[in-house]
Amino acid sequence: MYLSVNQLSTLMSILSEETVENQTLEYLVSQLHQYFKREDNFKVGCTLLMLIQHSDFLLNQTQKFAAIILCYELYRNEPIASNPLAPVFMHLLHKKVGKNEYVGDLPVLTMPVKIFLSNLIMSQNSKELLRKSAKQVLTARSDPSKPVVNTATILNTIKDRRKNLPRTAKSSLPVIIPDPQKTETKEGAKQVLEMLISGPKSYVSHNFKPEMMRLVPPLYVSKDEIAWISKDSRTSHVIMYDKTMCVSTSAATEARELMTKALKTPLTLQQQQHLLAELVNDPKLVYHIGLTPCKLPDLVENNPLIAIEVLLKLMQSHSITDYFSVLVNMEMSLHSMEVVNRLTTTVELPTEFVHLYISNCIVACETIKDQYMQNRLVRLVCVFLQSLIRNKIINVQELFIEVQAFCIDFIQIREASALFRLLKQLETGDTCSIGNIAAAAGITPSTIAAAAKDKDKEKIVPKEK
Amino acid sequence: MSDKQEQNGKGSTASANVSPSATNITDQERDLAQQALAEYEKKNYKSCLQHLERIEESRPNDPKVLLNKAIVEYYESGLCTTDKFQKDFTVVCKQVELNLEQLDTLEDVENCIYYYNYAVLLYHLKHYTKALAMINKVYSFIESLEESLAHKVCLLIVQLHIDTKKPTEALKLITYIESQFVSTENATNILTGSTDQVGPIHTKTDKTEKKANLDAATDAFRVSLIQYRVRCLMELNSFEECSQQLNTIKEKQDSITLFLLGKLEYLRGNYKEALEILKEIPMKNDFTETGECSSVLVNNNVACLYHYAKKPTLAFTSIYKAIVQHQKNIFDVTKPVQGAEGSLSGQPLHIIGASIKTELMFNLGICLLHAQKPEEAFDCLIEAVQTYHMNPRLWLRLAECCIMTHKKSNDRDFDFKKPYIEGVIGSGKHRKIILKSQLFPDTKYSCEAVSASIPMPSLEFGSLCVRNAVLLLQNNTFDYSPSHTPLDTHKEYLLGCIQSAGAYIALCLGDPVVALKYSQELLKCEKINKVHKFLGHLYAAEALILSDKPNEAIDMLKESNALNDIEPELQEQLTIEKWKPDKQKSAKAVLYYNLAVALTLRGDLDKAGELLKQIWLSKIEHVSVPVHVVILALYIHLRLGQKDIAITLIKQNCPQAKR
Repeated sequence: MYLSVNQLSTLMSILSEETVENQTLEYLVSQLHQYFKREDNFKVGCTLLMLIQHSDFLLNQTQKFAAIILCYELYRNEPIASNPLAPVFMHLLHKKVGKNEYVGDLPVLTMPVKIFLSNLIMSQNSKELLRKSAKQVLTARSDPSKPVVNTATILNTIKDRRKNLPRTAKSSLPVIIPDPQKTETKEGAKQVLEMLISGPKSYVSHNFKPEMMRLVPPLYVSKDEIAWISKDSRTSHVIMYDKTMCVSTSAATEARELMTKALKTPLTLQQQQHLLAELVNDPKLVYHIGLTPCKLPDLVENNPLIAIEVLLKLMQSHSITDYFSVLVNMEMSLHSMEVVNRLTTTVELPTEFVHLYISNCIVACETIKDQYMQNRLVRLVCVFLQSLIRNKIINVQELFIEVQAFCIDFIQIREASALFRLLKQLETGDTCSIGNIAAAAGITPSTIAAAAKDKDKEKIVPKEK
Repeated sequence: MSDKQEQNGKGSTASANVSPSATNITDQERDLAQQALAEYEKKNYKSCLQHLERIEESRPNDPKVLLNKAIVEYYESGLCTTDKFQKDFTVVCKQVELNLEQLDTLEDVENCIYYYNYAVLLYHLKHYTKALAMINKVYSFIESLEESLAHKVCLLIVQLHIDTKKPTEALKLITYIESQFVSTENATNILTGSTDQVGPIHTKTDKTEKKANLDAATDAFRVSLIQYRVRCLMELNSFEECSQQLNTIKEKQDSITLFLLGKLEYLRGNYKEALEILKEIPMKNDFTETGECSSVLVNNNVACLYHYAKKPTLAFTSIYKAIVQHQKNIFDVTKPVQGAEGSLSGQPLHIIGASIKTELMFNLGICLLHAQKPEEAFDCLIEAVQTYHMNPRLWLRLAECCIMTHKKSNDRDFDFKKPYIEGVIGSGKHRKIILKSQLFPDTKYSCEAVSASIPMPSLEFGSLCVRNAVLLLQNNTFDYSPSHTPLDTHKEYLLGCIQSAGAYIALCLGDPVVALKYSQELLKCEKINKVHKFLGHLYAAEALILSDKPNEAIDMLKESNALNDIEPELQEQLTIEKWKPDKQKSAKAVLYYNLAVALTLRGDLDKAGELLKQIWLSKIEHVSVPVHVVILALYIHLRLGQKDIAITLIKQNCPQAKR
């Protein structure tokens, strides 16, 4: 509801033919302010505007004129530029007669009205003007001494203000389109007005403007979004009973005990053979004898032969690399060298492990303080290296500089100079006499890999040549 | 198991703990243990427990006895006393000085059984990542484990890789496991068939001879591995290989294989074949034992097939049946257990994590959305998104529910039968034609004091859904569960859908800046879907108009090349819903109409009028055109001062106005 039925009839009675004819404009204005509160101004203004636009509600020209004046007086105390209805007055004053433009059917003003309106807008004291009645203004003869006051400045202000509005905001038209027919009129003006203004939808306040068409986007298309649920066999993952409860065999227990012993002291030949035999009997036993990578050095030092066998059995295990890295980084000794040498001839070790081991050997020789121990270690390393080279386990080119420097450092030792000559020979490509040199140096394969027996090689996956 | 003892790092002394238990085993104890094991395997838990108690009398501190006792008691309760089992289990672990939270303490293979069992618990409670870390550790001892345990560990590690969406890693594991555990029995090359498998090649006679020796357990293991491989390959969209793999186990028509076969046909779009396979699945309800119910799964899967066969009502009925049955199953197995308290008691372990209600609700939601029931769909999907909040498609679906609740379809925009004036008031000289201030209430400026983040099918919530979906895709942090993971190339199309939805929602909420951003990003995409391109131009132009940039909007629409070859992609869309505009010409009419609006707003009334005439001519050729054209024509005539023409126009096109 825009204006209530009562408010509407009040407004219409102010504008009634009788009142307008007989009362001064001032009286009409005072009536307006008396019956309508300030906050209703805009609603009243819009209603008045509609009355002006439509020809069938205010039949009399005087009434229309009075409505225009009332429209103006609503916002009397505010600057004309901020009067929301200001564009209407500018249109009335500046509209060129005959231009075929639809602006909601505003009437064309006669000259006396234009003069009066422009004076009203521009004058500081309008009270004087309003003393006249509407009829007096309309019937006044146009007085050449009182021309239309120029309102161009106001027009420009209003235009500027409108320029900043978005086009969508200034393109609206009223939704009420007059469509007068010559047929019988069933309803009175009052009734129709009530429907337009006081009805539930109050069409007078609505307007319409061009709208873009906004399509709803289509649904996402997918051919496999709905979840197909397969059987998951969740129940195949069950809590497991420990089947090893109370089943530990005496053989396993014994092997475990022997292994614990082997970590502390060398086993007798008989014990060694027993343990190795058990390991051969049960390939999985090796995992159950309590050996871990960090215990390996003890085993190597005390029982290198068992260490070799155990490592060979562990070759398929995930943790073999852990064992290797422990082996490579453990303290240099005859036994560790023996184990590594044996491993290199039996299975293919990762190259980086072998290289790291050699580097560690060389560093160990250089840092040892005891002269006697140093000589001993250097000779061992030289023999070990020759064995590696001869068996083509390492590509000497990759370590050439390091090994050559090592030989030069210890050139006074017979094995070192032999190794040096071997290197030189390799450099010149004379490979056939390597064996001779090695023999001349008094080295035989058995000095290092004494434990290596050919039958073991058959068991392990042979290296690729 | 949180209150574990603090002394960790003592695992290395485990051997000291085990040795006393390993020694001094009397023959009597050994016999009892054998009997206990035999009873356990026969599932006679009561008598197994009696044996165990007798062993316990002589070996009160043997952790193995204590563990087995806890396990058998657990089984005896029907796996319903998970809380109690956890407690007992923790006590035993304490005795062995094991800290299960500290994976480094696992050094002795003897202790693997504890870690394995803990991983199983975690798996059933759906703590997949933690379970995976646990089982990974056990797996490093795989060679040393007793065979039946080793098989279980292998299956669990593969399962967990699949559950944590690592199909490629799972495939590698399967290949290795087959080479270690199956190929020794000589089955590898029979089963895998493909060339990239490791494992020794054997002669034919060798093969046939030894195949007969595969015992039942190993064979089941072999089949399980193949089923897992199929699941991985399927996840990786390698359907051809899936089919090859499935062929090797086809003769063993267990229901797991049948479900996989059906899924493969489903993913390949062979719905009829998939339906035939589903019919073969035996419908016995063994939910209590397995936590899975064939009839629920079959009904769900049938719904998938109906859905894509464009039978939404049948799909809905079928999935609804599945949900009802599933809820009943869960209700039936849940019973209070005396003396067992805790949140994990009362349901068997394998049931706790077996609820597939979220998956079913997800499916139901998608079905409802396609059946044009957005509000009901929203309620289902919002339940699913609690679990699957990393799924960008699901967020998009929620946004689509919001959009569809706001505007059901574009049909009304092309329907000239619907009144598009408000009505007529008065008669005779007072007769007034009342137009509508908005043809359709498309724009909805929010004035309600309700937070946008409250889940309801509103445009405000929809805009948050869109944002989530975009963020997930941008950060590459998504997971399509529970759906099948689509091909990577699909991502662009998905993003296009999300951006279109985002632009649409922003326009409806009166937010042209965001709408412009979404549509511009949408248009940037190189392999853009033509329908999206078309929408992108429309949305961007409207956003520009709302930002009062009619020139840019006009340029965008004038230069739009979205209509070239739009037809095939429109047809693709029409296979799943009746979307309008459904023809290239109709889409063109929409584009021209929006251009006419932009021109009108700029003041080019004549040009706009020309365009409207063109649209009108195509309407005569039975092209669906927007009803908006009449109102725009009316507007233009009114603006031009041609009131009489305008009124005639209304009366011609709107029977309401003639009266």
